[in-house]
Amino acid sequence: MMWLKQLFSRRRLYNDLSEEIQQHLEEKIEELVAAGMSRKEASAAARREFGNLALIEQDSRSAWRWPSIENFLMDVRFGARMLRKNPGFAAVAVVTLALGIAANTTIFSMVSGWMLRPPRIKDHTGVVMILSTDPAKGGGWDQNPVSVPDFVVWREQSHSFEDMVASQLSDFALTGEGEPERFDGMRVSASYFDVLGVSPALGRTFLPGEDQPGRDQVVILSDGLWQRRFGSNPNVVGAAVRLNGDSYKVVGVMPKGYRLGYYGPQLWTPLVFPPQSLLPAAREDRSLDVMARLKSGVSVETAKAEMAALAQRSEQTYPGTSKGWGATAWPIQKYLADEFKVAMRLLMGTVIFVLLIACANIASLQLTRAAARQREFAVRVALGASRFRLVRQLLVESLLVALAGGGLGLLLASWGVALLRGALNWSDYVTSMSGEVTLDNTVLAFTLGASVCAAILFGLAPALHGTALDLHSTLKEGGRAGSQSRARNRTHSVLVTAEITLALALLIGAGLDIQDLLQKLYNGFGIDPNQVLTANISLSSTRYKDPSKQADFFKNVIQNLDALPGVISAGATTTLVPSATEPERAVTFSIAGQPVLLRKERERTDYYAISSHYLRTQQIPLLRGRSLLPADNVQAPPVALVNQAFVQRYFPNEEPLGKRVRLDTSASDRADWSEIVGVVGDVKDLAREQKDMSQVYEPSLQRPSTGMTLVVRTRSDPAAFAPLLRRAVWDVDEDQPITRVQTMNQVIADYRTGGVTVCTMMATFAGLALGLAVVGVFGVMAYTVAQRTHEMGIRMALGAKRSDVLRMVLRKGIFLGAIGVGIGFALGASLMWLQQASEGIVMPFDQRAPVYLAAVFLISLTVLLATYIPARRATKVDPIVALRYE
Amino acid sequence: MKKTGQRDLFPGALEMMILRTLKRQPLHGYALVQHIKRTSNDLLQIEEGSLYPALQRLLKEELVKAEWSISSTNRRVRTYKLTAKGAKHLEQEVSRFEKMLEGITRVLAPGES
Repeated sequence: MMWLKQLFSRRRLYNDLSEEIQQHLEEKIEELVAAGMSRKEASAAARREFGNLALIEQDSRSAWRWPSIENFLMDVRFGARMLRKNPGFAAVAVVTLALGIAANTTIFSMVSGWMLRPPRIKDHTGVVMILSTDPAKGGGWDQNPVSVPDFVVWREQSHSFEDMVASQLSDFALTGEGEPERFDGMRVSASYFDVLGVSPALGRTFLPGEDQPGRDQVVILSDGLWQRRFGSNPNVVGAAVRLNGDSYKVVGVMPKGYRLGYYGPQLWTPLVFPPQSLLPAAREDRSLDVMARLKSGVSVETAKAEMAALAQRSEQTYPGTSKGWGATAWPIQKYLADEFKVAMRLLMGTVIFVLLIACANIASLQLTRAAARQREFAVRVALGASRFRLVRQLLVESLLVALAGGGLGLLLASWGVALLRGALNWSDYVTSMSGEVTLDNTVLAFTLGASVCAAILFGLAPALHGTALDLHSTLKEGGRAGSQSRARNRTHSVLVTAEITLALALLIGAGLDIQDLLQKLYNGFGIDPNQVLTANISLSSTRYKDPSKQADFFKNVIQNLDALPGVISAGATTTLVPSATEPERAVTFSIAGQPVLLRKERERTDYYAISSHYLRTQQIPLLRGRSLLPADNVQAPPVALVNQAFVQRYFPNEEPLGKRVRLDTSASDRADWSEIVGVVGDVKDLAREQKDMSQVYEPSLQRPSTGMTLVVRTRSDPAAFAPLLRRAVWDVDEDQPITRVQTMNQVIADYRTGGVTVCTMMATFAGLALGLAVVGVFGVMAYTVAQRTHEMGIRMALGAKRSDVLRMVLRKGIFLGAIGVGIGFALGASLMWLQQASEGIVMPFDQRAPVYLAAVFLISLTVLLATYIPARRATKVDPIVALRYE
Repeated sequence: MKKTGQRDLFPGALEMMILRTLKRQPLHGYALVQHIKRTSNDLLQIEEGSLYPALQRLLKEELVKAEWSISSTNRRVRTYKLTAKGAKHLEQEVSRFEKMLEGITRVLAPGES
């Protein structure tokens, strides 16, 4: 870095030099004086001998200059001047790029916040996630939790780790002062926070042994809960709170901003393993999130190998429950980032397309501008500038545009990030994670990098084209470099085609997403979601141990609701939405008269325990037989309803009414069978159109449950009904928490990972891409027409009709459009196919065809329009004017 | 400002003479130019000042290094010293120059042509 030092220490070097020269002169003068000259004469003679003082000093100084940097700065100054001279070009280029950069920066802020930022724990590289793997499951998703017996054995037998801890999300009801509340908490091993190396803001973490039965009534609060429920009172440590009906002592409060990954539990209690969870059969219940801290010097690879060996031992010892199951270790950050990999890839891909289109537009503008500056370049070359110097000048100008665009883009992105954070609200988790989306340093570096890359992308080709000069013809008055402009036109054509290609691919992608969402939102689900309010109720299993008390609770609440004015119908169900995306929520069952199978070999179905008016409330139609009645209670013989899909699948040619089924809703097989008394319409899956989901309904009076969702159909705005619903519940039990009070439409809209938000983003980006592409096509066509004014004048003077000219221009636009549409279609379709294949579902083409057609139609129409307007202008050319134009 | 009859030195010649002189002993600028003038018997007409741009270039290339000190005449002077890199460079330049000189001498040699 010698040159850098020199650059900054120049002042000192110059001072040295001046002093040195001064000393030289004085020495000379003294010598001459000593030889007998007068001082005045000596001084003049010394200067004469020395030469031109100013020139010599300047020459000496210039030895220290850093020519390439100073030339660069000169290029920058000149470039800035050129841009100021052409503010129209500068503004369009900067704004275009800013849009592309803003989209990229906004999306990248999510990538940075969720995937790149290390978890806020001590030395996160030493922490690994222990996962069960089942290669047979396939689908690329092979990260399963660990069973309790496996955890206990692995923790004891492994040597790679200092410690291994387990955690499990769990529901907690907080009662006592204020409104009862239910939220997610986490049960954790006693040394959980020690392994993470996180200390509490107040109090302490759990002590060894507090995860033993009887000593586990202690709780650590999250900062959020502490603020919200306890008014940030520092004396809360040591106080008692009621959780799930039991008294817990608060021992600590975690610091603000502590979170680990996707989960944002509101409190932590010790994780206790009840005796039955340690039985060998419990190996099948894989539900623990397990983390471990590596011993120092042990690599992740070693840990992986050890876990695989331990899993193999489990598999050999317990082939019944562990056959095919392995285990592995993932670095914690990689594991946490994996959650967002697919979504981020999709979104980043989209915005990069937008940026590419923006670059193509600017490149095309630059190309036009370089053509207009040919004479300037020719003069510079004639005066001795090298081509390299010219290319560098143009690249520096591009860089200036890019940095201005990047800066403006950053400004837009800060607004985009605020918008995005507001939109990340479809679940508590997502809302708490939205805070991680910020314009941090990584994002700033990304933006700078993207801007510089963009500058090279949109600057290099025009710079090379613009400076490939035929000096002679360019400098000649009125000279036109024919072959030059042909090469330039070719580049223009390639850029336009690329823009159309990218825009179409994006349109197809966004179109398919929107189709998906619309299908989900409006194609009907077999229910009528309008005017319906829902609320989750989860009864405390200690206070409502007796099933009849559970049934009574819901019966009373529904009665209260029914009595309210404005209620059309009220009901309750254990399952609100079909479970296709979560197969573990389906229930195994048997049909009477068919061979009895082992549980895990039995068929699965969606299962609903419902109150008698639930079907009417959701407007699920009864197709045959009878519906459930209030009389279908514990005293009456058990009954069930099945849906049409169930009948088609299991009784294709038989009468389903009167058949008997047995659902496995508890650990052991039921003694009684339920008789099918009716067939109802299918309720469709909210996430994917899966036609053959079988569904079975049983009366909740016969099959009571602690957890149900209340469903109320109202005459007016269902959301406004929420306070009345709460009152109706608290009239029955004032300590009962109520969660997720939402209209049915909200439930549907928010069901799958914020489909609306993602769709809105995709549509915005696709719209942006389309807009940019149209501007690009329009610009190139207009330029082509302007360039050919002379030629058209001649043609028309020689007798060509206006329609001929129109056709000539249109032909070019249509030709480029057709190529772009062709490639774009292939690109879009194959990208979509790849995306769907990676998710494991490929939609039949005929369902997608309308979207493809619509996208192709939309882009063709806009390209045609963007071509037609300049073409029309071409026909207005007055031959006389055109010929005089030169 | 050239006097008539004066010839420019070829590029690098002044640098080479400076390096050669400094190889014998470290000198400050004034002494250096006096030495060169004296040794060349004033055949080479060098502007005293022209030494300084050359010295700055040599400094930048790290062929010489400079230090402020007090001279025997009790004057604050900047003394230049040859570096190892400079010594090597001088060797190469001298051998290049000798080859060039030999070539020129042969062409200029009388009797032929």
